[in-house]
Amino acid sequence: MTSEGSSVNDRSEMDIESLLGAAAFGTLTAEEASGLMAYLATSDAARAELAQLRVIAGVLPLLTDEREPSPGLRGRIEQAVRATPHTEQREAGLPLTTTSSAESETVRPLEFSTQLAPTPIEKAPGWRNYVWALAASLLIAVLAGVMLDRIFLQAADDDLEGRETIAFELTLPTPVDDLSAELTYDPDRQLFVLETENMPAAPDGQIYQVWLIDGVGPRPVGVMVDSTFALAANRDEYAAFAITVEPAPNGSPAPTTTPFFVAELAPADADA
Amino acid sequence: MPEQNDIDFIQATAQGDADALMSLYDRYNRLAFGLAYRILGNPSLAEEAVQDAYLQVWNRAASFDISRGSNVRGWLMTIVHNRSIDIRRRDIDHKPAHVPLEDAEHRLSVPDVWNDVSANLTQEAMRSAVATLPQDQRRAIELAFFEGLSHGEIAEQEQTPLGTIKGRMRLGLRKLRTVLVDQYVSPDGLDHDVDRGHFRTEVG
Repeated sequence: MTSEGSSVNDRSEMDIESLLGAAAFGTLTAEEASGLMAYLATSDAARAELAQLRVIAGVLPLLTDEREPSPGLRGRIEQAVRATPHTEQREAGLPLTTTSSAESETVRPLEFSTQLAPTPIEKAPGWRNYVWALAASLLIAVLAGVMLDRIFLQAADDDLEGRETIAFELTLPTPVDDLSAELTYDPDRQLFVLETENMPAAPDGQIYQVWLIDGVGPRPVGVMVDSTFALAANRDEYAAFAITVEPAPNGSPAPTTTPFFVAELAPADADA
Repeated sequence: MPEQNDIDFIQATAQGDADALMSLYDRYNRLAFGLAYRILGNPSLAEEAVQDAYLQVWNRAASFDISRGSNVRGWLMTIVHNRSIDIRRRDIDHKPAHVPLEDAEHRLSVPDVWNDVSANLTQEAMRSAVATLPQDQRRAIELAFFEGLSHGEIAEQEQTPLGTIKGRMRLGLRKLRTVLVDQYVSPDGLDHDVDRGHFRTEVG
């Protein structure tokens, strides 16, 4: 290698290493993150420094003053978690997976068509536009012959516990036998519960991520790791509940695929 | 009966014990809400961030890797921080979300001693350590951490060259680390490599 080449490489390394501070804060752009990821794969020293810096960034919350949240917050969180069952396969120290290994042997991950989602979804100026765009994309997908497993349109129906059943559209690329799902909302507890049966695993390296969508755009509200997903939120503040397929294990800050599950959240009295 | 520690609670949470999660809430809700409020400046949004964070903990408790340390508080606050920054950029600043280096997480590892040290740091210790930083480094760190600004956004806001901002962020964190190492990691009984700045790494 020439000295000039070494100089260029050194300068390039210095440039990429200068990103380590921002990387510790998690404030990289997509392009920067991509470049740094590639560099980290080749540099033990850079990985070590990033690990060091992240530890330090991780204790910066101690600089804040403690504050008392409202008394109701504890109850809202507790209601939501108690409505979400855990699988027995979860054990501390093991990586989070969407299904157990036993399930993986018998359940074939879905292969979602990218035809439905050629580009990431951008924030829409108004949520209604977003809903109709989704509806239109689903309709186009049907007309284009994309294989749809089934479409559920469940009529609103109050159950004995006062929970309201919310209609939704579920679009899967391949048939799934005995798949069922129900989305309910408890207005008293402001709690959504999505219960599914025989839901196939997300594709390898991906996970189902749930979104609530308002006038600003999609808000990430969690990933599905069980057949049941519970969420404490006020239905009146949102226009839709949607699910997309995103990178595992934590999902994405914004949707990168078209939702395969969409429920419009019209006011409760509008469902009657 | 001995008091349960954070590891007990996170392990129980991973096995579906909602009471354990709520114990973590009772222990850290003030710190979590304080952090979210500092970032968001709005109690309603801050509670949304805290609620989302605890639900993430409920859904992801099994991903807490005890072999990499015992700092449950730090892990929880990182989740609160990330969620708060996401909300701030989306609802307040109307800026695109940052891109996490998720794939790198499993490749990065630090000695247990560091997680233990960070788990036991006090607010006073952190404040005194940060006070040793030059003002420009401190401000760069605060803008990045509490306002979620990228180095480009900080450079623009501060009307300072981008390279300078990158340097301040990196150097500031490194200096903080040095100060904390000097203060909390004695050469006796703990990893001497830590004092010399050589963290072990595990390549995934």
